[in-house]
Amino acid sequence: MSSANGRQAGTAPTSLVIGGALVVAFVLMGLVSLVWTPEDPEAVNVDARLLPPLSDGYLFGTDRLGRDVLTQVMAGARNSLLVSVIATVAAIVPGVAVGLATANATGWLAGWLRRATDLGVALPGILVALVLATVLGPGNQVTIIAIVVWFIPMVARVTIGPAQQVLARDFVEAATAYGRSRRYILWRHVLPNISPLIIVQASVMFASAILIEAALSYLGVGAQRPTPSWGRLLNEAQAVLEVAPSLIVFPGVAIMLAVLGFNLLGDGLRVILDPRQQARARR
Amino acid sequence: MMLQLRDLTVSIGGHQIVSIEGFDLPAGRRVGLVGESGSGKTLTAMALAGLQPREAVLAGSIQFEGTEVVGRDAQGLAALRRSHIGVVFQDPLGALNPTMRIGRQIAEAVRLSGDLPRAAVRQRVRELLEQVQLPDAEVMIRRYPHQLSGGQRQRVLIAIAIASGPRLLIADEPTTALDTTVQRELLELIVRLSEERSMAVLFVSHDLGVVRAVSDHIAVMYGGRLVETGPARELITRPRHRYTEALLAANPGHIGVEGSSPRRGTPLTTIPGTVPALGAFPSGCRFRGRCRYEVEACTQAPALVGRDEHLAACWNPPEADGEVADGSAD
Repeated sequence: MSSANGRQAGTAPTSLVIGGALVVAFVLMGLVSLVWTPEDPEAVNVDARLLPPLSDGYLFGTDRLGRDVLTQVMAGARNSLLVSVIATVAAIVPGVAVGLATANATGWLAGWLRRATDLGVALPGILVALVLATVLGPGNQVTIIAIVVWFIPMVARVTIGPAQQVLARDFVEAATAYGRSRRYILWRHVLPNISPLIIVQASVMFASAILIEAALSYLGVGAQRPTPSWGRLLNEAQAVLEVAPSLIVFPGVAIMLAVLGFNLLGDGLRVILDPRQQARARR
Repeated sequence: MMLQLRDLTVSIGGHQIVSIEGFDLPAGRRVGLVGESGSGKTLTAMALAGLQPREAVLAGSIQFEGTEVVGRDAQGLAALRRSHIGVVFQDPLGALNPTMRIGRQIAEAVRLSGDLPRAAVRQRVRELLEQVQLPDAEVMIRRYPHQLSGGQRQRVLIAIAIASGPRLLIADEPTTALDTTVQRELLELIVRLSEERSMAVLFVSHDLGVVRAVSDHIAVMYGGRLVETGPARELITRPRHRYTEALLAANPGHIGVEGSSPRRGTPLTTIPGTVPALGAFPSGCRFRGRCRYEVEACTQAPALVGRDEHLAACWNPPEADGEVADGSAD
C-alpha cells in the first residue's frame, strides 16, 4: 500500500515488482514441474525416508515414504495453478455479467438481484465444498465448483457499484440519447471503464483460490492421491510433525509466497490501473 | 417555425418546475436562455431534446419542424436527436468515455448519423476536427480524453454534437468550467459554426455576458417561467421586465449597457432575497416579494405580451424608452 505514495511517474510500484516476481516464479515452478522434477513425484524410496533438508540429492529432504519434498512442492504448484486459473476465470465471467445486469436493472428486479447477491456472499464456502464433496465425491472438481459458487456473488458485488457509477456518467446518457442499445452501452462503455477493477479483483481472488485449494486438499475433500497438492502435503506432514517438522515448512512457505505474490500483484495493479493515480503521476 | 413550444409544463414529483406558455425558435437563430440556478433553464433545454430526467413529466407541446416531441417514445426521440438536434454537455470530461480514443468517439457519432464506409467515416472525423479547429487531426484522434485540455475536450464534444449536421445545437453552460480566453474562443467557434451551417443554437447560461456574446435573441427565465424574451441588444438596453432589469443592474458592467456602465467604487447592486424554494413561489408574478416595483396587479399572473418579438410578462415594466432604472436600494 505504502508503495503507492511517493511513486515517481513511470516507475512500477514496489508491490508490483515483488508480487510480479513471486507470481512468475510460482507459474514457472508449476510449468517446469510438467517437464522436469528432481525425482519422479511418485517414486518411493524406503531407504531414504524422512531425510532432513539439504541431504545428499534431496534439497528439501524426503517424506515418510522417501519421496522428494522439492519434487512434491513443485508438482503441488501445478495443481494449485490449475484449480485457481479455472475457478477464477469461471467465476469472473458470470460474476461480472450478473453485476452488470444488476447495475443495469431497475425497479423490483434490481432489488431482488441485489439481495440474491448479498445472500450469495453470505454462503460459507467451505461448507458448500464439504456438501459438494459428499454429493460428488472428493476431488479437484469439488474445489473448483466450490470456489466458483463462492466467488460469483463476490465478483458481482464489486462490479455493481462502479458499474452504476459509470452508467450515471454523461457519455452513457449521450449514447442512450442517440439510441444505443443497453447491451452495447454495457459492453462498450461500462465494461472497459470497470475492467481495471476487475483485473485487480481477479488477482486478489487468485490468492484466495490458492488458499482455498490448499485448505480443501488439507481437509481431504480437494485433490486426491496421487495428485500432488500443497494442502495434501501439509495433511501428510501433520502425522510426522514431531519427527520431521521441516515437512510442513516447505509447502507452507510455498502457499504463503504464492498468496503473497498475488496479493502484492493486485495491490500494484490497483496503483497503476487507477486512473486518478495515473493522472496524478502525469502532472 | 423550426421549434415551437406551447403550454409546456415540466413536473417532478408533483411540483411544476417549468411552465412556459409559448416560445418559438426559428431556424438558424441563436437564442441565449438565461436564469439563476433553479430557474428551470437547463430542464427546459433538455426537455426540448427529450433529455429531461426520467422522473420528470412533460405536458403541453414541443414541435420540432412539425413533429411533436412530447410523448414520443425513446426510439423516436433517439432518431430525432441523431438527425436534427445536437447537445453539448456542461462537463466535457464526464461526457467523454475515458477509455476510448477521441477518434473513435467522434467516429461513433458519425456512424450513428448514417451508415458510411470506413474510409468515409475517417475522412468525416478529420473534417469535424478541422471544423472545431483542433489541429493535428492525426495526433488528436489517437488521444484519450485525459490527455486533452478542458478547451480541447469541449471542442471534441462540439465535434460530436455537430457530427450529424443538426439543425439545432443545445449547449448547456458549455464554457462554465473554462477560463475566459478559452471561453471566448469557444463562443466564437459556436457562432461561426452556427453561421456556416445555419444551425440554430440554444445557449443555456447563467452568465448574461456570455449569452450576449453568442446570441441574437435572449430569453430570461425566473422560477420556471419565461419572463422576457427579445432581440439581444434591445433586451439588454431596454428590458421590459423588472427581473431582467434587476439582473442587468447586478452585472458588473462588462456587458455594456450604453451610458449606464457602473462607476468604479460603486457597490454592485444585488437582488434582495433569494430564489424561493420549490413550491414556495408567491401566487401571481413569481418575482413578487423580491421586486421593488410591485403593484396591485402583480398578484395576478402576468401574460407574456409585447410588440414585434420583444415580449415580457410584467405588470409594471420599466419605461419603454426610458433609461434602465437604477436598481440599487435607496
